[in-house]
Amino acid sequence: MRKRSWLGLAALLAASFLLSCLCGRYPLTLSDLWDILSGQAAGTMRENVFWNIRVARTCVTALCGGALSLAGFAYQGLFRNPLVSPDVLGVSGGASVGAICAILFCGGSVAALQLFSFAGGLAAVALSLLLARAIGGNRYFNLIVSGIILGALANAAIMALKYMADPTQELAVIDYWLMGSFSLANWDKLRGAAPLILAAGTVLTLLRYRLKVLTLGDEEAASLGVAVVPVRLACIGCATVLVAASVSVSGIVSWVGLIVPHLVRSVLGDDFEANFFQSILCGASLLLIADTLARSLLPSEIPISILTSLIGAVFLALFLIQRQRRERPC
Amino acid sequence: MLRVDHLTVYRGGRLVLDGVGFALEPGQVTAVLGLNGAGKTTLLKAILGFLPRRAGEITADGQPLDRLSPADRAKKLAYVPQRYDGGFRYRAEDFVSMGATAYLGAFSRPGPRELARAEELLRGLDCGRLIGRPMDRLSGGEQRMAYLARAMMQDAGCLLLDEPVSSLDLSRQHLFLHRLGRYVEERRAGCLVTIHAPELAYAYAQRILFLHQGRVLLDASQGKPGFEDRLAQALGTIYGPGLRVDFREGGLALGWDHGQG
Repeated sequence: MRKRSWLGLAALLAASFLLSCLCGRYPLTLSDLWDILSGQAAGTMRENVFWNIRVARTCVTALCGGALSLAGFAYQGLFRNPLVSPDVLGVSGGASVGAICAILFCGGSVAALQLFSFAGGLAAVALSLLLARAIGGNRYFNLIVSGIILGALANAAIMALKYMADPTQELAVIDYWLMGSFSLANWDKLRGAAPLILAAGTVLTLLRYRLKVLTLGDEEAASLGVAVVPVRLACIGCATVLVAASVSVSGIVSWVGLIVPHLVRSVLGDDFEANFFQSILCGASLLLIADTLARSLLPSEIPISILTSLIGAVFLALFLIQRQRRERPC
Repeated sequence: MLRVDHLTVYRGGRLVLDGVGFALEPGQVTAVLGLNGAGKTTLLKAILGFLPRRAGEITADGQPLDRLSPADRAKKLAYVPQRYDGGFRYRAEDFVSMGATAYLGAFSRPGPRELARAEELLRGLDCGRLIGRPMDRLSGGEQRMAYLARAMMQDAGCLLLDEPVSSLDLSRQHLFLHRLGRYVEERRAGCLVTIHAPELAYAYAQRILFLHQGRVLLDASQGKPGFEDRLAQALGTIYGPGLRVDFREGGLALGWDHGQG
């Protein structure tokens, strides 16, 4: 049973990866793929599209999907709440403010956008943590309240900046960024984000058992020998880097980090350490599918958050209703 | 062994523990009794370092606890909280194996050996049927047994248990305390257990500490001359003159006179 679920997830990821490489405005077939991989299509348009556009975009999307889901899973564990999203400490709001500043004040170059949004996301979470410390008292409550406050401040800044933006050009760019898209993903972006995502993901992977013990609550974890505060800070830091790095290449991609870990737990069964890896695989697959739809459904590309929010919300509602039915006595 | 000296703790500006001191003996269960709010839970949490203290010193085997690393502290003290409050779902044997955390490297996790040991401990407590079942689906009594198994896995010199039997039915209260006593004796561990029922404390603890208004009102050991008299007197002081205390056939029986009013 357990082995089957791993095989299923690996197959899902492979299939969505392949689908994402082939579908798009310039469709490729399996025989095209064979030609490209065997070198018979050298120098053709097909080969160029495949290597420079599709594969790069697919890799970025898969990486971001895995990163967002893993960050969501880590945050849910840290807050001992299965319905927490990775935005709980304000990372997306901060990243948005950074990105908008890059668009308005730095000409919106790709590098500035990536750098500013990443820094903005980290700064918002750092401020949340400092605020939580200043408030004192119950840790979970503090952190959540601080996250809400930072989120509201970021929102105010976003609205003010949008109000100041030139409505004919900048505003459209801002809105497009806030809805997320992988249409500009390329190898350069991958080179910028991948090391951060892989490093943070590795540290979280190493700490996953400590994170599991933390889900028992601070006091029990401490009595079992876990250094609660350092472990929690390391996990928050890594989860934040995961979100900030992926948001910095794609803009805001909502709901993936919330829904995927929840889905994984519910469908594949609760097992903290297995769910950890399942979230990564499942998140990568689902975001690949969403991104493939985003560029295939309509002649022009759909911002990804429209799809992830829609799919996520409908999925969650259906799932909760179905579970309720199953657990009812009759 | 655990030693507490002049422990003074304030909570929310209120003096809850006022110079409490005692030392645990290996192989003995020490019961802490007292009214609601007498400071029983505060005592455990202050010993574990979860609450700041105003004064006092807490040592285990002569070493001050706050100078030990979390892992070293976990090898000295195991803790069983009042209730199970897992935000996530774990299988019982997984939960028990977490008792080994202090013995693992920072990046390691319990392996097949720890899991096998966890299952062995559960079977040793006649709880083999819990293996493979999720903690949040267990009954209160079964969860307590899993906690006891986890504390045994932790193999600490002292066990601190916060009202482990208050939510259990009568037979499970006796079963749990019996198993606890057997383990404490075999391991030669120290054990501090807060409890509400004086009858159970009398039946299973070798020593009774009464907390009253933040102080130790009574610290008496079974078998010492005058133990029953002192216990009866302390019970009268705490619960008032309505309490009837009888020692018969090796047990303690309590009753209540409501008087004429």
